[in-house]
Amino acid sequence: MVRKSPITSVRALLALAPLLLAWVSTSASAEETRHFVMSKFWHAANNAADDCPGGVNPKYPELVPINLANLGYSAREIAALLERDAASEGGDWENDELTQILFYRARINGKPANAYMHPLAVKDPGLKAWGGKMAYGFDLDGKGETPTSFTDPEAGVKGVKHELARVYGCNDQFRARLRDGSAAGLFFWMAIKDAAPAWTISITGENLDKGGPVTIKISRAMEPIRYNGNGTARADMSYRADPDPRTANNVYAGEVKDGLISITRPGPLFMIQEPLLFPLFTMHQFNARMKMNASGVLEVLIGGYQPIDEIYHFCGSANMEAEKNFCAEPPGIYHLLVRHADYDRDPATGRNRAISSTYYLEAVPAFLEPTIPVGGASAGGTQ
Amino acid sequence: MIKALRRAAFAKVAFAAVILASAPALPASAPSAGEPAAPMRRLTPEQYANIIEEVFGNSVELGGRFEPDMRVEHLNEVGSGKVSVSSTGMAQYNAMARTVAKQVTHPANRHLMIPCTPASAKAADDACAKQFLSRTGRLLFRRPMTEREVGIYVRAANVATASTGDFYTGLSLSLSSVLSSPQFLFRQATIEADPDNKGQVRLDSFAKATRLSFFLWNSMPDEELLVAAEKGELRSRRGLERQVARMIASPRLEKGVRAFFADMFQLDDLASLSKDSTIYPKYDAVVAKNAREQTLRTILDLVVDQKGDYRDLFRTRKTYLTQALASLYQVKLINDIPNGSPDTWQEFTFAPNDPRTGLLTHLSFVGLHSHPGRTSATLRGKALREIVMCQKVPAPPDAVDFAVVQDTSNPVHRTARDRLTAHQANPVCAGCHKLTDPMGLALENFDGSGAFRTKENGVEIDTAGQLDNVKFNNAAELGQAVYNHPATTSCVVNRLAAYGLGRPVVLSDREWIGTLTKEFAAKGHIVPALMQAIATSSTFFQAEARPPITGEREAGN
Amino acid sequence: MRKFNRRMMLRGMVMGSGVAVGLPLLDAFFDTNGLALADTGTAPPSTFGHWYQGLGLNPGMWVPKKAGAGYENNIQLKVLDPYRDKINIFSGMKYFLDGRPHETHTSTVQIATTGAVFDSGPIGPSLDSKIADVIGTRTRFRSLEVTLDGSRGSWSRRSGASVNASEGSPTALYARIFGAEFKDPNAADFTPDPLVIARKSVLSAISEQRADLAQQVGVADRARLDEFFTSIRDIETQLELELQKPAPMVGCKIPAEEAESKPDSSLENIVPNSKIIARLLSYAMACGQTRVVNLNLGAQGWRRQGAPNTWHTATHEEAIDPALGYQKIVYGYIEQANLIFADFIKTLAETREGDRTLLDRSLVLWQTDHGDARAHTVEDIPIITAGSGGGLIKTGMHIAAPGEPCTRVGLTVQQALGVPLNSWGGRSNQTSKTITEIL
Repeated sequence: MVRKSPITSVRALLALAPLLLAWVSTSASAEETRHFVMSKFWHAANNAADDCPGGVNPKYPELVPINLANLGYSAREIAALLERDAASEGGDWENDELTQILFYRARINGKPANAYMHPLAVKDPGLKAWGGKMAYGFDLDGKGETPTSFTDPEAGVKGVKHELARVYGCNDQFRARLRDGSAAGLFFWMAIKDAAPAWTISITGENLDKGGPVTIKISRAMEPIRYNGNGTARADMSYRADPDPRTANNVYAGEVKDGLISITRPGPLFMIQEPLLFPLFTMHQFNARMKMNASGVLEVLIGGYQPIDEIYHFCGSANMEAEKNFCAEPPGIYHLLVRHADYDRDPATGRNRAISSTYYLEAVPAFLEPTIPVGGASAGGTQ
Repeated sequence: MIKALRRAAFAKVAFAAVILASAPALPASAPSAGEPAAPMRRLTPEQYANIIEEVFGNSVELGGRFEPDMRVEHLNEVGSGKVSVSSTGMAQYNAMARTVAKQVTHPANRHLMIPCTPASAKAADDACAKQFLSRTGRLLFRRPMTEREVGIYVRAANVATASTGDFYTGLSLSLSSVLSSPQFLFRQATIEADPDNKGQVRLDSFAKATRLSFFLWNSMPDEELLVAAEKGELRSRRGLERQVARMIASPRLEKGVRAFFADMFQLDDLASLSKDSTIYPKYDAVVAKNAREQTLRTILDLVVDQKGDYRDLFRTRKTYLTQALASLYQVKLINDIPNGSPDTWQEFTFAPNDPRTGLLTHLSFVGLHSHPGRTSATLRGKALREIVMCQKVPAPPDAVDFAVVQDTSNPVHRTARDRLTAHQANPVCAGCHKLTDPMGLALENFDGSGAFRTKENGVEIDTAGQLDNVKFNNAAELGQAVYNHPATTSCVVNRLAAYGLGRPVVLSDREWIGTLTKEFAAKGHIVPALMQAIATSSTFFQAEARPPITGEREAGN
Repeated sequence: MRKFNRRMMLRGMVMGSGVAVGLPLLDAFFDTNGLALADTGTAPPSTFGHWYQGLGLNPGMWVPKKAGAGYENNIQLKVLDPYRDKINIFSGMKYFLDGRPHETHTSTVQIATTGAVFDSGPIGPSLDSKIADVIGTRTRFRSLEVTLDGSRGSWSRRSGASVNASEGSPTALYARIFGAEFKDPNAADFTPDPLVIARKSVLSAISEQRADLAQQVGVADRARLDEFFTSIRDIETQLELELQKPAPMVGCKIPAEEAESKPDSSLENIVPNSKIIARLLSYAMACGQTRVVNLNLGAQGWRRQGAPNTWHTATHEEAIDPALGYQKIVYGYIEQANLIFADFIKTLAETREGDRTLLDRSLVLWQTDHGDARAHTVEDIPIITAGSGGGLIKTGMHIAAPGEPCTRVGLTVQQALGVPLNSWGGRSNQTSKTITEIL
């Protein structure tokens, strides 16, 4: 057979199952680049049964009386309100008494305001944080083990900073094991995956087979990822690289060692995702670690300090729908985010604006065609 | 008893394996005297759709399902000469006929479709009905309707108008009967007395025109061909040759070539081909549809557009792919259109060092002739023998133990070659497998979904093989061996002839086939030239001796 | 590659080659009265039911292990065991989104009911409407739409703009069917359909030519022509039967009115109301008032009284029980919905019509929006059919067709019921492949 099979090299590199990897060799040097497209994405959770002493946080129906009490309603008023609500036909949103009270439960200068737009103007409902010891991620600040740090359950890395795990960990909607994804995580990913331009990971190195230094680039394709009939991500599809200059600097020095690909020199990440979830996805001290599993899927952890407002966006913008369905209690979550933020102190308020967080990604081999911005007016990204 | 006989017959064939490399076996005799040389043929779904589109325009919806085709002697087109219409099938044809007729007479269309306006829309108008029905009938019957036929359908329109109180409903229902009639649904080889040979018969001009257009265009005659038939031009050699040359040069030839090769390579079977999605996740209904089209586009490009050598189909690297297919073939193919748009077809040439060369490495071959969860060197070899080379491979005897062949997780026999070798330890099996497996094994680099692989269960795949006396090491060399094999070209001649005649090639056709094959080779294996040669030959229009019938149709010649 | 000239193809030859035919005629043929087959006068006519139950089933708990005939129900569909011989289960099929945004619980129902996502081009009629246009033209109601949660929600539509709204109250449904306008099928006078008379008359145009044609062909072809004319004769016979007064509807009874529970989304009211609705719809069909029914469970808002969550919220919020491997509360809702479905089938089966039952001539298509509601998956979608529609399809089969478009089932059901249609659906959901195993 004439074509040199790339299998051998992939196996040496990643010590994995027989499959073909799509690859493109660059002619200028002996370097080769392998491209992958992201096929799954959610925050890295590591929950187990009963890991929130006293139980998980209350859900919407249980939060309603708590929130009403926080607004100053008496027990009798609350009971009457709930009774009227149960008897009502539902009605439209604007005329629904309880909805209006809860939606505008923020108070600015004593006046009702949108609770989801102004979460800090809502009295903290006091959602509790997760107290686990094992969480996925990176020693982002290089300080090693601290009283609040975790140990990575698979890589064994100590000093892991992943405060987002604490924010989310005691809300059922966010609780999950790493690869299953939480209900909220799945909801968002499933809702965006078929239409959002796929994220790409490109790994370039002189000898990807034996290991050594590589560069890792994170960017986007123009097309959404394609799936097979059985729902698994389709490997070896062709995509066009999005020439958006805003993502051009997401290039990091890394290395391949013992089948593990990792970033050795963290830096800033600037990505664009999907308005439903993260219009912008940025991180300070961006780090990544990846390894191919037996099914030929690249399993990736990314971590860094992420602005809490970017995280809050999807809960806040989906407002009451989010509250009733997939986001716990958005103002309460925002209070937790503020409390656990551990980076980028705002000199004006003295509060941290970013929080250490880890996300789990999967990616499959792909072809990626470089594209040039059309007429120089490319900042918009996709056509 | 029967089983024993079958076994004996099987053993004989197995030992006489060497015969298979020579010319295909032919049935001993032509149809008996007194019978038409070719049977009437039922329209295929594609032909039906083509006709409706040409007569009434392409926005007419058919709405309905067709009776399944039947493959006889490897061709649906031969099967179309054997099938009739079942009761359920008739209900479908009739429903489709009413659906089409309803659209034709719809208020939004009638001014485009009906050449006259009735005196009253609520009453019968025989003159207007006649004008429409005879004009449409000429196209649908592919000949002028006889006076009797016109009379029958005009009366039908009249009666239906009377009971529904609406001229157009009556006309629509009458048209639906025309579309449900045997004269429309079957292509008849109508004959007439041959004035040049006393006591002999010949195909009439319209039967000739019909045979030509379905062979070359997979559809009805166009206006020019009908007029040529009406003028009797197809009776003269020059007139015939002029029409055939025109038809070969027409863009409609593409439809004819497509129809033939889809039939020959059995590409419609892809529509019902399923794969185990756990083992072959990339294979799905879309890919299957694309695979059929890939092969047809490859053929059309080489055979029609490039006027290339037919044999090059087995070694060409040029093909056409969609993005979905490209991912299965593991090559880059960029879709340069906005997000979410459907895949596009693009020309693609596999790199010189790529293992994909020729039709045998297309999904439409390696995938179609595989099992749902594994490859089959035997099925692929058998398909190569039977479909590409027109040779016969006997069916396996009863009660064979296939356990070893099927067990892809067998710890000892880890590749298909190992498993087949173990299977051949059984001497009864060995004979036939020698006919198929050595060619099929050269394609083992392509898994059951057509994707490329170099190993099976961790063991490097050996793709050495043999076709008759020619040895080779891989699929590309197999393609070359098929290119070189004389059966490759004689087979396409045989199949195309049978396809044109609507019956298997028989012993008495041998001389004709021989001439065609020689001419095909001499002209560089150009398929349209071969079609032209067939379409202008007297055998193609042969009408078997049958006494002329009295009271011939009034119209036509 | 040579391109066919589209313009050329737009022209019809019937008026010479210069005339272009431009209009899509989709609406032109839906007022046909369908296949003769579905209208035989001997057996009572086929009926169709569409059952829409959102929020899927539990992955891994409904697909029968064995494919083909004689399957055994997996745990979640065990409730259908009594009617297994009359039920088909379809597994592995999917909805294709083709790169369009996934409007969860919506895009997929659009595909299930109309074959395509609504975002491009005109919205087609839902399959029940197309079926009703064929089998429902001579009944009092072309179709009846009902929800079980008291709402007016409906997926049945004649076109994008005209939705056939549902009835949510059993009392109102009773009044609608069995009120003053009820037409006793057995008392009614019979008027033969003039269109059927006309259809029969034009078929004789073909039969008349039998002798002429037989003369023109050889012996082998004559046998084929004989078969052809026998098939024509079969249609004529069916039409003759249609022209006679249909057999009395022996299963028709006017039921006593039953007191409804409050028509709302609480399970405590849904369960008793669903039983009344099942009975009312059965009698409506047994009395020939309609031949098409649509049941929309309105599953999204189902809740147990006092429970903190609705079924839908539970799919998002409830943690997967680590011991069981699934969401326990969600499982309970699905179980309840399946029980209601089984009860509906049971009601059809217990509606006797002489020596047969209403189920024998019914074809009920069960569809849903997601394979796994928690993750809004569009793969491995469960689809169920119950009844053969009076022998139109084979039953008792589990068809596993991984990766195939769900629209294949919709196409098959429509074709079986006589909708003139050779393909159905849009983009990747478009298919012309029926499920041949059940035809």
